[in-house]
Amino acid sequence: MAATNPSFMNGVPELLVLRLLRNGEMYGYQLVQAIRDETGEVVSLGEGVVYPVLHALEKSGAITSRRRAVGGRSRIYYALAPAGVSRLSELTSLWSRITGAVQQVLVGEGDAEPV
Amino acid sequence: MQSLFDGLSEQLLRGGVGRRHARRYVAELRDHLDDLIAEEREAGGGAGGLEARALARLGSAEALAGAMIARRELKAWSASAPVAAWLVAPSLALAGGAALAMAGVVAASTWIGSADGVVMFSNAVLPVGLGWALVALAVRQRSAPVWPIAGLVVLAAAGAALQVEVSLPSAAAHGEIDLAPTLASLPGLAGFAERVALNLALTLAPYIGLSLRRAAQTGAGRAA
Repeated sequence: MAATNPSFMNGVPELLVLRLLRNGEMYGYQLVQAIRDETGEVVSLGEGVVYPVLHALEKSGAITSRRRAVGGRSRIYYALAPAGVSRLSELTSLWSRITGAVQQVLVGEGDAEPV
Repeated sequence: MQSLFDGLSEQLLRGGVGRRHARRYVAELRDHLDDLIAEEREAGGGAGGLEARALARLGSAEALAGAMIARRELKAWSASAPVAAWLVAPSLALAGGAALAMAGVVAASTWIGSADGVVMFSNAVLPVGLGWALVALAVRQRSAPVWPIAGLVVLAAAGAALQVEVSLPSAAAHGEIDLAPTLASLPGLAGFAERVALNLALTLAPYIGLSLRRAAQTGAGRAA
């Protein structure tokens, strides 16, 4: 299993969760597996810490939750809310600018625009 | 495993996380752990270390609690705005409750009977009842004692200072109902001190008793 990488993770779990929920509702375990699979295990969360991210996103209105019984078990499923769509758009744009700016520095072009 | 979740629940509440979020978080972690154990079992790992491996993937108790406690937006109101929750809101509720009770007397067709009830309710029942509500909140939320005790002291003082007085109407004079501060005179001060002491005794005693009981239960849970 890949080690977790907390120092570069600020804001990344929110971005990944919102992006993955755009494909459809999921519960916490599914989300963690999806993050691991989709990122080729490069991004690896301490699995339990995805829930504070989900609770905070729900509190901000970006996602909604509902309890569903599946296979004899009751689970809390999360889905993207309209406010989450615009939040995802903002975060995606910010992330693209940050990675673009860092890339510029790494290849030595300098003069990155302030983010 | 049970003790991990019991301990985590206590840690979250003591960290100021709202009860609803704490309860749901622990329930979700239990489900997540079940899924991890099932996954490890399917992967064919040795049965002996199944739980340990699943727990390691879930995260340590400190990491799990820390991730939740760090989120300000998930804190209970009593933890995120303690001055408002413990000091201001109870005093406002006291004044509002007394005003409502007085309005009830004025609206009643006859003052006789209802007047005594309102005086008793506003001057004695309301401050103590609100104090018990603070005690229940403090114990349920595992609040550090500083704010609840400050809240009980302020409430006891406010309840003793604001006294409802009713003069029944007679043939010679009209009736009067009044919410008056009692600190204007020396006899008033003595009565004030007595009422503060009584209010505090009636609210602090249950708080101390329930807190000691909760501490004993938590200690017994850890020992088990």
